[in-house]
Amino acid sequence: MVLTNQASAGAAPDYGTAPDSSGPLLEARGITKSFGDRLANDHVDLTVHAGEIRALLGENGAGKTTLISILCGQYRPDAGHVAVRGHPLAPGSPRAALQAGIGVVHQDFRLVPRFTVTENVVLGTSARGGGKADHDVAERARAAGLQLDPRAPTWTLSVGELQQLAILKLLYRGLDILILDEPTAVLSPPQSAELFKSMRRLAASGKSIIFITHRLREVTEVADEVTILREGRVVADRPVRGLDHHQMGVLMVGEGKTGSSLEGSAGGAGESMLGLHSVVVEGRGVKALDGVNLEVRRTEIVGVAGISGNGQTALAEVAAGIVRPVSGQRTCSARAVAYIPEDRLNRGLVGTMSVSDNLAFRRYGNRSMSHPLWLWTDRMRALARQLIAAFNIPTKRPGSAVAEMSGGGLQRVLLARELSEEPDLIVAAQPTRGLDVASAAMVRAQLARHRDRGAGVLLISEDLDEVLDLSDRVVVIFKGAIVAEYANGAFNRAEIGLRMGGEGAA
Amino acid sequence: MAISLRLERRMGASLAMRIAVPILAVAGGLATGAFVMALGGHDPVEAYNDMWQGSLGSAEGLQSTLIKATPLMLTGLAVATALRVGLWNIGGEGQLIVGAIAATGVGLYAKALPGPALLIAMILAGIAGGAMWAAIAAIPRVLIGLNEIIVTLFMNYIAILFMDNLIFGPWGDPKAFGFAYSRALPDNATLPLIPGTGVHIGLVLAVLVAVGAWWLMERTPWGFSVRVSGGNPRTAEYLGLRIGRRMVIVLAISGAIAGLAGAIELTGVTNRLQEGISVNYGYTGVLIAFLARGRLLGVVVAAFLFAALVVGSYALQTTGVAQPIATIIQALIIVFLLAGDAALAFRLRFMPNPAMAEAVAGGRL
Repeated sequence: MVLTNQASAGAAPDYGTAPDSSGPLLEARGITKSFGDRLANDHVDLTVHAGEIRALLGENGAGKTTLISILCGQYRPDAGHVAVRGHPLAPGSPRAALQAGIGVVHQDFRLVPRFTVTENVVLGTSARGGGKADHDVAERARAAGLQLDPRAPTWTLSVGELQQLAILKLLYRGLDILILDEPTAVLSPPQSAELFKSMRRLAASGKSIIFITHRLREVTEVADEVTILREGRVVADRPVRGLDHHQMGVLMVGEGKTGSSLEGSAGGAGESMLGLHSVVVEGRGVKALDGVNLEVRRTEIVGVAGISGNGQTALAEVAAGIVRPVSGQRTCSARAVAYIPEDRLNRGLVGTMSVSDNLAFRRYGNRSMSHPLWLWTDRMRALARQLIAAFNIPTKRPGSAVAEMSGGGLQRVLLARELSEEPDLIVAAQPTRGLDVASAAMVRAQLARHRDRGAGVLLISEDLDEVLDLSDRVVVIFKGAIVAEYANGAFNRAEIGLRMGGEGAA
Repeated sequence: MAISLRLERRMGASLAMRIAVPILAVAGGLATGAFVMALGGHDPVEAYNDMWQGSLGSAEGLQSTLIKATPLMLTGLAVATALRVGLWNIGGEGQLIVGAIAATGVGLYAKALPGPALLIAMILAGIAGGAMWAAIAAIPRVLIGLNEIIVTLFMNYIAILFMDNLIFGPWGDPKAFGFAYSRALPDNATLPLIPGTGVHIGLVLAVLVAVGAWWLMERTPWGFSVRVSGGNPRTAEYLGLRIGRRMVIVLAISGAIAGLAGAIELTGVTNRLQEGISVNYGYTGVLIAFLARGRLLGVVVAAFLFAALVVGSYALQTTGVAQPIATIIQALIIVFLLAGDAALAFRLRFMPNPAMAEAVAGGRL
């Protein structure tokens, strides 16, 4: 078999022994990998059996991505080895990993937008597109319970469909160890539920799935087993049954670092900070917002629930005062407005400038930082050092470029800058998306703290739990309009979910 | 051998490496230039020795190099300044020429101005001319998003033909039958020399401009806002900065610097408006800014280096090496620089490949 020929001769003392069919499908032992002086994986063990869904849980930087990169042959470990069905896997060879049956669905899917579904599926195999391939692909999709039109151009697919396509691509190759890298990060709750169904069906058919996530709730929802990584080491490797969210959270972030639970605001909401009156915003000829009425007052968090693509981005930009409405009115009585955009690096930061510069964007023109003819760079750095400490920004030097930071780091830079000025109005768009648990908890705590201090907060999030946990008032956005509003204490998760999907009474 | 090569992405190159790359690129350009000369049957050691003598190794050569460095420094600064707001000004050539035209106009028609007043008026006219020429290119960029690279480039040809029109027509010297230059400028339209040298004070002006541009862009709040706009226009919008206005102003400043180069060449070197007042200074400025990694003070060093290459190549005529070797070396330096950028972004690793070793042992390869 080709597999045997591909196996590593050097690192395989048991080379040539008979394959072990009763053992685990995939076994990684003592995986160690360092980048410079940072140990990304420290003697990591991972075992996956056939038909098992294993969650790989950990914060950003815990070593999840490094581990899967080693499993699929993109990185070569400094020590340790991987075996599939008892056969050692040649390290650092993506081809060997594929031949052994390991495939990854990356967060960005890596598909060709101009290709049809079929063309993307067969890309990289010896098969060609065309009628027969369409038929094969349709067959495969049906067998796996995926609803995909083989002839549809890929660019017309929704995010959920793109993900199905990426999974189908692996199934078509006959791979049976599927690694899903944070698949739910880009999905709405119903899309995630759909994905979980597919995952269970695949597992039932004997495939093994390694499921990477930040979200504790998803672990209990779909996984059988869980491996928790912290700072490159395995801190738990056990069945999910009998593990509650609190325990998992503690294991993931370490003792005493879990986010404190947040309480609702003490007093009632105060004067109006932001008002949107029949606001219409157009983007590319279509109405992104269609007659939105919304008010945000002091000491309240108004949560906007909704499935992505229903006008959230336009709402955030109008609320923050960056985009002008085509018709309707925006009234704002806040002196300082903080805006946490969803696309942090592209809207809000300058990658080529330093952390210290980025932290000064709101203040460099102030008397304290500059004279019209002179910028006090030393004062900017002093401010930066102060904010780096206060917000735990993961950088050693204020002078290093922002583009070199992780997603959590970027969000901390942005928050530090936007929230350190005691804003009266905070517009936060997807503020915890893609963040590790500790960063997300910090973001939520900060929003609540500023609400308690007297700021009005508009929280736009696709994470319904987050909206429900934090908000004093919840509105639902659907197709550019606010379709429902719920006062504190009257949140009905099921009903909100229906409204998000455009259902429910008017 | 069962060794495989791998490219790995590198996170954040160290400062030492970022400094090393331009230096290595220059060394690589010179070494490959030697190879090119050897191919042509010339002795590169002898040629480089001649170039050294002709550019830096003698007082005379050094003087020529400094004079040559002046316009190159300014055109390089023009490019690096425009880069601060995210624009590529490829029109240094045209802006330099329009600057020279404007200065000549003042020199020819305001002859009555006494003493240094004429010279100062000419230089100011050069600055204004270059600024205007560049600002024209910025306007379609801001209004309809027309690519500034194309517009600034094409405006070079307009400027050159306009100059030709003047020197063959109304401003032509009737005594210079057949030669393409204007009437001579008055005597008080000549830049003074730096005392004790044969180098005109344009060099001092160029260095002052470098420091001034650095201060404006790197040390004032306005320059900071320009860098934000250039670094990420969407973030500038987020902060409520007016990007279009900054683009026009910065491109005008950029053009002003190139226009100053034109006025300085006119008053310091040629003393007439003539074809060839710019020997590709505008385009070489792009390379210089690139070699300086867009850094304003780095331009001073890079311009000096490129000037030495050009002036050194004048000394080659005796050895028989063709003078365009200077251009070849400049181009090679840029090629090595691009390669160096790739090397900074990636890391090449050699590693044993057991799968391949086995294939070799098994006779499959």
